[in-house]
Amino acid sequence: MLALLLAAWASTAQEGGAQAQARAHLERAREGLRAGARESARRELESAVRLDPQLAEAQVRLGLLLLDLGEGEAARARLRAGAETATPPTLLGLGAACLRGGLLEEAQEFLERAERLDPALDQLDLLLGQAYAARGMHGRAVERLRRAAARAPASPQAHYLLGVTLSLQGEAAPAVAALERAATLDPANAALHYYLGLAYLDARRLPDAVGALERSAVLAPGDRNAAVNLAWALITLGRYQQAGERLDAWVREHPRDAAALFLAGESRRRAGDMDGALERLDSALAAEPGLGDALFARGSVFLLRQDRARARADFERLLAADADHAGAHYQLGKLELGEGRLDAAVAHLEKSVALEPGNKAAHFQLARAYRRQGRAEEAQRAAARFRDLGREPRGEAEWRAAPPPRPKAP
Amino acid sequence: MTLPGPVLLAALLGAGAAAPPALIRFSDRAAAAGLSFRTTYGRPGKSTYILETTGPGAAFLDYDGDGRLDVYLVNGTTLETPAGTAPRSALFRNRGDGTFEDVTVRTGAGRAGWGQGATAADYDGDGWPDLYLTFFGESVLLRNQGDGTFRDVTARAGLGAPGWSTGAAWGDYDRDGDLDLYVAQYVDLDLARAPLPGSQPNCFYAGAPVMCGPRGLPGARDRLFRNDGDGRFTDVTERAGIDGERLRGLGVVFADFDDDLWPDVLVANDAHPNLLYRNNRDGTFTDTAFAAGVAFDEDGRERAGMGVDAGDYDGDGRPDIVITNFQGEPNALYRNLGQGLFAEETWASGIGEATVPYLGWGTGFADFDNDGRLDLFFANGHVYPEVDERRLDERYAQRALVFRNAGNGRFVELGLSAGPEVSAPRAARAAAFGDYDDDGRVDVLVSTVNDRPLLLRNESEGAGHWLSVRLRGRRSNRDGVGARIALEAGGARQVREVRAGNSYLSQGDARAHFGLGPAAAAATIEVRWPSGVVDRLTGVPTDRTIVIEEGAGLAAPGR
Repeated sequence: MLALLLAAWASTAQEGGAQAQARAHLERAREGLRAGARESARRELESAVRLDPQLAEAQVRLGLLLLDLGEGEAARARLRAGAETATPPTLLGLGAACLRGGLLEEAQEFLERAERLDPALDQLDLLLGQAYAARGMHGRAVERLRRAAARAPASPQAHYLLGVTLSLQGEAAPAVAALERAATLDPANAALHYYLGLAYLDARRLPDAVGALERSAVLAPGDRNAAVNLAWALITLGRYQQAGERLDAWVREHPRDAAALFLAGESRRRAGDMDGALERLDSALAAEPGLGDALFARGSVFLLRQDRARARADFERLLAADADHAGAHYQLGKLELGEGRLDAAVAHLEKSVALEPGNKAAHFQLARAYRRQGRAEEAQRAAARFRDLGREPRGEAEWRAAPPPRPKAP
Repeated sequence: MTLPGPVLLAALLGAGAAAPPALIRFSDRAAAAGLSFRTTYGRPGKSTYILETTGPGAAFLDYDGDGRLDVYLVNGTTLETPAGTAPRSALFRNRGDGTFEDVTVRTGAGRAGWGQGATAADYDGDGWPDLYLTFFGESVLLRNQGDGTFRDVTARAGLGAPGWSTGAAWGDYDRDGDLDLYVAQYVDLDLARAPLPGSQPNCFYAGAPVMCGPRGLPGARDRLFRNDGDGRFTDVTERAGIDGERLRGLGVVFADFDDDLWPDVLVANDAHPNLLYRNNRDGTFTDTAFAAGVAFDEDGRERAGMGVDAGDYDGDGRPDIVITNFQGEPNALYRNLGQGLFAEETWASGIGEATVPYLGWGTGFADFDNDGRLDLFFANGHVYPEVDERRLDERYAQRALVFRNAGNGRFVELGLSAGPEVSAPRAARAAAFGDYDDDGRVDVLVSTVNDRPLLLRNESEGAGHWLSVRLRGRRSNRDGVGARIALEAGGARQVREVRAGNSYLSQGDARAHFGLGPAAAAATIEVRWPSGVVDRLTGVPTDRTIVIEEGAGLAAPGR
């Protein structure tokens, strides 16, 4: 679309001496671009704008070329210069190009200017919504994208962008609705199913999330984020075997993916396969030695197996990196209690309780430690706190062990 | 230096090393023995209510006094079965030739409905074991009339215990010489108002809609009944301080955990903390489970307690505890440290890792290879039939697990070597332990849901010597339930208590079984009766069943 607009624009340009030379350079640049000779085209365009800075088409073409070449900062000035006299459709095209090239401020500016000049332009709401979303202005983005979706209800793109933006805004249920609509319109779009899966995760609709992420993984088998998030959802649901199988398949191809190896280890640990867990957690830590989640999980396996020296080493490493790791203090407290070092146990457990007052388990162990120290009143208080925190879990999410940290969204 | 193979092996084993452990092995003889009984328990493939999942109990008892263990198999029904047409539980008489005959009709022992557990004991001291059957609804006491028939005396005894009764166990908690009854109750369930699958947060499993509970359903209060000695019982639940919190009880066992002669009670609760009732010696109990360390797991979480047993697996003379739990949780092993304290040995013993992938029910300590150390058995099966169809990663039918006690605080899971029928997946529930063929090896009777039972005949090769001890009480209750028997042989001391009701909805052999390894005689046997009377025997030959009568020592076989 932008190419046609630029062609139309060229016919209105003025003639003159330097201007004529500039136009000649522009013409050669056009030919170069058509032939794919981007370097020579760039030189011609640079000559053109040097001879006639007012030659808007040359400025724009050079800006776009620089954008394509990844020289965003250099492109910025050219596009701004070129856009000064641009028509609304050209501004729209420039806004879209800037969006793609990451010049978000310019994208917003060009699109808003286009709207002021011609509010009826097609695609305006969609592009502006995208620009606002990209700049973190979610409220305005949602408003625009809702309007875009209403104008083009059969367009999956508007629903898709609306859904993703709503997800970013933390509005899980409407995000799911928009993305479900988009998925109906464009069922073969892997990214769309992926984001729908994430939205389901946000909405705590885990079985639906598994379904959407499975579809995404089928459509794009090489997509790491779909694979890892799917495994996480399966672990959270308690389907450890399926999660483990998927993760093992993934890490066979990507043996240095520490986060995936950690999840693979975690799925084994929860299924009771401690040998399998240790193997994968060792690999995760070989790939990323400071991976705290893996250190914690491996230390916990060592502790279950009464391998206290190695458990201690992992938890102490964790505390060296993060002295306020409540979980590490808790596990060390248990370890010390098991070895009869009551003062050390109490110190760790008190620290854990201070860091995480709502952790029932830490109060439970602290009560035991106090009792063994002969501190009956404190033991009773800790036990009472433990009991106060206890209540009937509502649903699986509360009675199953807390899920591992959710993979970070890209 | 290179050692020849046999020399190297000998060196590794150590000079004078003991003989290798016997190969523990079982084969299922149910069909061959005539136990063709197939249970009915809810609709196959899908459960609407939790009631359909707890499954039927099973019991070994010698109802006709011929010295051989007979079999009682509890039955259930379905939601769709019209009242009055439900199948009955069944009693099978041991013919003594490895087969059983169905004597349900002629004995009058059959009962229909949502049957739960079965436990047998001589509550009236007439020398004949009576049967107590727990139900969802009214439970039933069947008095053994000594003529091969039973009579329903529930109303007169006052043991109907309406509600949802599950595990039951007999014990003389007040030491007055007769047997009292503890009845665990599970959930206060009204089918007319019970929530349906998927209707509430606690009605999902692995994200799929399933029957609701136990979480989200109110628990029901366990009952303690004192035997008044005249055929009647008094409900002393409140007075004794039992289960005021209405926890969801399933498995129950009496045992003298603190060695004071007064029987204590352990109750495995489902998704609630377990209860350990210390007998206060004044007709009341105090729950010490929290302080003792058996109420929760090590992170303070309630597990889904199902079955329970007590036994001295480490040979220190104190009864330890095993409790079966839900899939994803380990079955729990607690070592009795004395002074009211227990150490959780679940993971250190090797039980933890091996049991996490299974949903455990019936369990028991028993010396399967007669080496003098108590081994462990777990009957497994899922509660949700839907796990298969919906690909929820777990299996409805699961194999049983047999663990050999390695003698160093650890247990070794025997896997397929325990026999193909043990390894065959079933939706198992109860597990009762007893030597039904009197060959000196402890067998296992396993009930299943909508399937046939397993009669796992112990065919372990190379098993050691053994001794089976039957007690006959005079001042104490007739079966010597609660008596502590200490046996010394080959320099080792073993302690057993006589129980009536344990595992999950089960009743085992009333005789105490001792494996003696290579010892050809028991140097001493000491029986400490609930009455306080102590009997001592010396130089008792092995490989037989003996009868010890309170205050009189060895007695002739027979009732």
